[in-house]
Amino acid sequence: MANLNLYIGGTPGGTDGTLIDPAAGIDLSGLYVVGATEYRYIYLPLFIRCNPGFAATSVQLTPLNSMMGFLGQSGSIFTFDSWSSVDNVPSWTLSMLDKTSKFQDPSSPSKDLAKIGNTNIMFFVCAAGTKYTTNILQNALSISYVETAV
Amino acid sequence: MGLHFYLNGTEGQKDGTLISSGDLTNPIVFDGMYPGSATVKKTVNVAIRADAGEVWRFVNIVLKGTHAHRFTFGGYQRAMGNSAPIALGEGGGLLILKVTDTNKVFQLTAAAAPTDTGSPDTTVKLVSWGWQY
Repeated sequence: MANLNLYIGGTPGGTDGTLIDPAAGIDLSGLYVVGATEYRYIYLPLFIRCNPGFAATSVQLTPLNSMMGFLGQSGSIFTFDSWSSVDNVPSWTLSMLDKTSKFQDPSSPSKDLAKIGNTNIMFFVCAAGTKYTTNILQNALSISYVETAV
Repeated sequence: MGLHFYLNGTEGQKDGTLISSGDLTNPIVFDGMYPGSATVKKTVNVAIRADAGEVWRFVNIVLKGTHAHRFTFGGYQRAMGNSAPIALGEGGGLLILKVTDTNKVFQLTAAAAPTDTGSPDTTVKLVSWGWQY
């Protein structure tokens, strides 16, 4: 059984959130993403952590959809492991982002994502609302990693 | 409970005029724009804040509607300190990592091009969503 999981609605550094299965799709109901032609890009925070007793290394997140990516720059994605990591970065307090310069290249998986332990690491999925005709974000991403018992 | 938009609000304050939601009783109006052979633009300051005592995280502000591509956001840094101007129609909404019950002010710019028709357009809506903590 794989012990690295994705959650939505969690807290950076916490152990909360609602478990999601990217293979089944991410439910975006109520997030005003779907159903119009000009929503452009939205930024969805997701959380990743291992079950107790396990850790993951060599974690790579790969977007499977050309209309989405990760918030990041220069071949890496931005991650947050606590509220202070969110609040204490001035240039992140109010950020405006665009696909061409600030999205992770959808064709490249993330590199050197921090070791994942038993508390939430947050990252942002960037998705174009125009792509989707249902409230389920299909084929969002895949996760490659090495799991170890600790 | 919720997030609201205000016109002419002051950063960090609780002032401004509430922008109406859906009924056009107090919309954001971009009037007086007369494109001849060139595109013209007009910018207004818009504030977002939560109801008293609320904290919202990861707030997305986006535009929806047929002519949403005629609008763009400004007043906020890009990620990682890139201060390059935001081009009209550049993909992306506005991401504010924390909104409380005091104003966060941003600029909203509208453009009218010589080829535009259908004025006044009332289809474009400003929408926000996030997580309440």
